[in-house]
Amino acid sequence: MSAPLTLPPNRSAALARLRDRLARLDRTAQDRATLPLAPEINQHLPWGGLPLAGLHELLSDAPGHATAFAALLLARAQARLTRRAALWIAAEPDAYMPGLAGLGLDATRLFLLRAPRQRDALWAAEEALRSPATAAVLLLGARTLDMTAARRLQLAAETGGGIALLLREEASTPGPTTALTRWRITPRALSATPHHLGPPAWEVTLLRARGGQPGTWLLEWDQATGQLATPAAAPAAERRRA
Amino acid sequence: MAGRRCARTPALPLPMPERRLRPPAPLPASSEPATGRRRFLVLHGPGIGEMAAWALRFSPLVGRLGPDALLIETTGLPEAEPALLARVLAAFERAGLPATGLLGAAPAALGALLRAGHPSAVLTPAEEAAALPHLPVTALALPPETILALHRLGLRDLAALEAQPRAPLARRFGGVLMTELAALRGAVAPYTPIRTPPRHVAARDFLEPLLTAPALAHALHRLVVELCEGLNAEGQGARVLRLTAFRGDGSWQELGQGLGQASRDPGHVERLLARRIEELRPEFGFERMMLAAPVTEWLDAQQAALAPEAGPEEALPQLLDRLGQRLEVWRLIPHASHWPERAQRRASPFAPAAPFTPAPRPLRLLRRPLPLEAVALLPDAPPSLLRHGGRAERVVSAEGPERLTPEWWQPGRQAPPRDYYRVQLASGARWWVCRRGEPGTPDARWFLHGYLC
Repeated sequence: MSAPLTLPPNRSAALARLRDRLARLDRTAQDRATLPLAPEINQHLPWGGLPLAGLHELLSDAPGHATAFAALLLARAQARLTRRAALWIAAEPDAYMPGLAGLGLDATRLFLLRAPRQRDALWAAEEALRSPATAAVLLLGARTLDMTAARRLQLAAETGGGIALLLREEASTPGPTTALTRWRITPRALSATPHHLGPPAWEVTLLRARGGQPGTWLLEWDQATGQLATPAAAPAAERRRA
Repeated sequence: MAGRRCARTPALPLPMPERRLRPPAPLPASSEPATGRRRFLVLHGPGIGEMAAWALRFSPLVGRLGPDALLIETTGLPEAEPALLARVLAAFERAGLPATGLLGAAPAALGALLRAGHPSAVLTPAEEAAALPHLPVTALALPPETILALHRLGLRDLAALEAQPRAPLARRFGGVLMTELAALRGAVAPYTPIRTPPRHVAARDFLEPLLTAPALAHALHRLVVELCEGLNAEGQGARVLRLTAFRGDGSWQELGQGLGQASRDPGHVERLLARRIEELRPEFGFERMMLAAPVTEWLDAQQAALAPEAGPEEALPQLLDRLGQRLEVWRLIPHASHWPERAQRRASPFAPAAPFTPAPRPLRLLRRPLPLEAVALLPDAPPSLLRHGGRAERVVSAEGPERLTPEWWQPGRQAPPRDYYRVQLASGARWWVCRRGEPGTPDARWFLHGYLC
């Protein structure tokens, strides 16, 4: 790569060749296992679902908001990659299994790690992602994550084949990222009546996807079927481009 | 024909009368007497008993004989005995604890000879037996009043003592004297090794003391390979590893490392130990390192080489071992309690797991519940407004209350009852809030205890 590239007069052909080469270098562009979300989102994403073996950022503006969504993804990763375990890494892991079991999370394959320093948390996440025994790693409360650290996590996830979820509590959207996707999760009270909470629902905004377009969806989780779906009652005006 | 062929046992040699098997020739009788089989090195010097753990570098079997004497069993050591004695004495000399040592068959006799001032030597059983009769009674390991009484009787040395008939001696002085006399003549008194000798040890001496991390890592690699080969040969896997590094000045350092699942995979063992290298402090350098597996388990042989990557079954315990070295790792197991913070317990990641029953409970339970200010239409009505940290949250819907009373069968738990509500805020969040205390009383207070899905 050190030799300077001399562009031939036919520029478009050269560009096409370079694009092809980049696509071959980028392992995320290959066919890979994915986690299914709602059918609409699966169609929208370039991979046909949320790809495993990659880093995904979940942003939320208050503590606890996006935990349910992240836990749902953990449970789906556990179900997709049987015989592998999920890890919950936080400065003070406060996962409560009686509630999480309702989302389908398997307590026998969930391990909690206490990492008060971010350095340790990143090391543990990377070590776990590299291992073929990990289905998913949920890293909570990572602040000021630089590009190098995110890239390292991405590479580790590609090695091991598990999914890396980064849950960040930030009201504003942080700078650029090397993650495959970046989401903002906002909880919504869609079908709540004064004495009944109704199924959990979120407004899920895809801020960035590598090789894809952003978008916004309203999602509702049906506990009986365990499926994510866009509620029928949601007005079409809610579906807008971010 | 086929039946006949089956019935005939093929190729069994028939005993021929002229080629009768002879009984094997008797083995030549052992030249040394039975007591000479086990060999002991007894060291005597002030304060030497404290060095028992350090003396493990010479032999895995070391015992203490009081504060001033050490017993090292040298049976089966490959080194020639005079060279071994010289090496041990030189090492103690360098460590600042000069000692005298006798290598022989009966530890009690050797100890007594050393107390009587015998110089360092290697004794054959014959020499030992010849030296014993001149042993003064004061050198024996006997209570002072017994020695005084023997002196009063005019029994000054062992020859005089052994010339006496045994029965009156036993009646007069009891079993202590008899035991000591038997021990002096080679009936080996049992001793307790300071540590049970591990079955699997790899040890290495270094001419140049090791100082740098790469040198230590290299030495560790060779020890691990050697240990794992030994484990492999016996079909065992290590559960606990102990690395002992001896410095030149007589001090030593020990590192213990547990494994979640028995393993003899050199790569895994080495990775675990390599991370501990920074804990080793080779002040003036390590001159001997010993890696032992004191606790082992049966481990079935597994086919390697077809799949170079370990499968999830082996990779998970290895990963948890590595993570557990630096961070706290646990798994959650259910506990039979309806009190929320006691309904789950932490367990070791290698402990047996158990599934949870789903319940309408939060996903995250705050260790320290956040105090809230609540506005309710009636004292026992669900809250309609919650304030936390200067922010007001309007409650859209609330499910509850779910009253939890403390477990009266638990002693010392006199907490007030709690009323839990699952509330949906206008902002979209769902909280698990509780009112502590009876509604309407001034000590009723509100807390945020967890986040719901």
